[in-house]
Amino acid sequence: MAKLARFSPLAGKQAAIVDELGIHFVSMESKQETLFISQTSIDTLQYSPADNYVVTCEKFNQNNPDNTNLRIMDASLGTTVAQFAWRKPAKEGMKTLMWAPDESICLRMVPPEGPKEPNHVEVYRDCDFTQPAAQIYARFPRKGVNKKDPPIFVNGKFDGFALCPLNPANPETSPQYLFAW
Amino acid sequence: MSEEDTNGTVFVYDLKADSFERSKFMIQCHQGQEISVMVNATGYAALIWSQNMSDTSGKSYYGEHSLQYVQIFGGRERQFVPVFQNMINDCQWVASGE
Repeated sequence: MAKLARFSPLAGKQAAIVDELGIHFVSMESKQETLFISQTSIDTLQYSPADNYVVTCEKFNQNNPDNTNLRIMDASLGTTVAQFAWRKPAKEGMKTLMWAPDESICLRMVPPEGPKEPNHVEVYRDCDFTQPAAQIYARFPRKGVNKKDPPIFVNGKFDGFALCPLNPANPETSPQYLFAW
Repeated sequence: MSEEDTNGTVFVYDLKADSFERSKFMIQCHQGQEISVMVNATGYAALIWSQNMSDTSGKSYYGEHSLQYVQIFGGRERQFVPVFQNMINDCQWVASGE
């Protein structure tokens, strides 16, 4: 029995159907299953905006702390290109990833490593998930006691983020703004 | 949002910059316990909806809300326009972003 199903959002040429056994990728052109990935217990699945990847999340296994339950998979090959541990509910895990419409940028909100540590945003570029191209920590400048003192940085926490499209008038020189709050 | 702040701040970083130690600019939200940022489809402007869940002013049981229009591109001429101060249930851009 299918648990959930999604169409690829851009071209709509593929659907991913999740059941107890795993993910069935179906071509909308041939009406045939083109790929099956055995992966039990998937709770949520979402396509990337240009159809090239699916993000899946399953319930975190407390008995296996190394469990990487949040995965980014190539939607045509079925290979896992990135995987992370996500200890909170699976649906919240999906909100920690954000893509540029052309998938040239993928952002991930990473939980803090300890109680008083800041969280941070990882920036992946050009679908290279081997390591983040940049990391933006929630550390914010505060003015020193005296005006001439350099600012001190205090740990904080980002609650959310949004990626701004490039300026359409001049995309090559446009800043690529990330809003984080 | 910084844990030291009672009011929210939206930090805006340029992903094309070399360093991310500091944000490019910041947007202060006076009712900032909960913040939603909605960028329009062209990337020209954003709506920033902020709200306090508990109102200390006694004006509203539902807390205080604020909606700012922020023109994103424009450097020092960047505009922050408070467009609405009453209670807000939802807001959206039209799909064209206009």
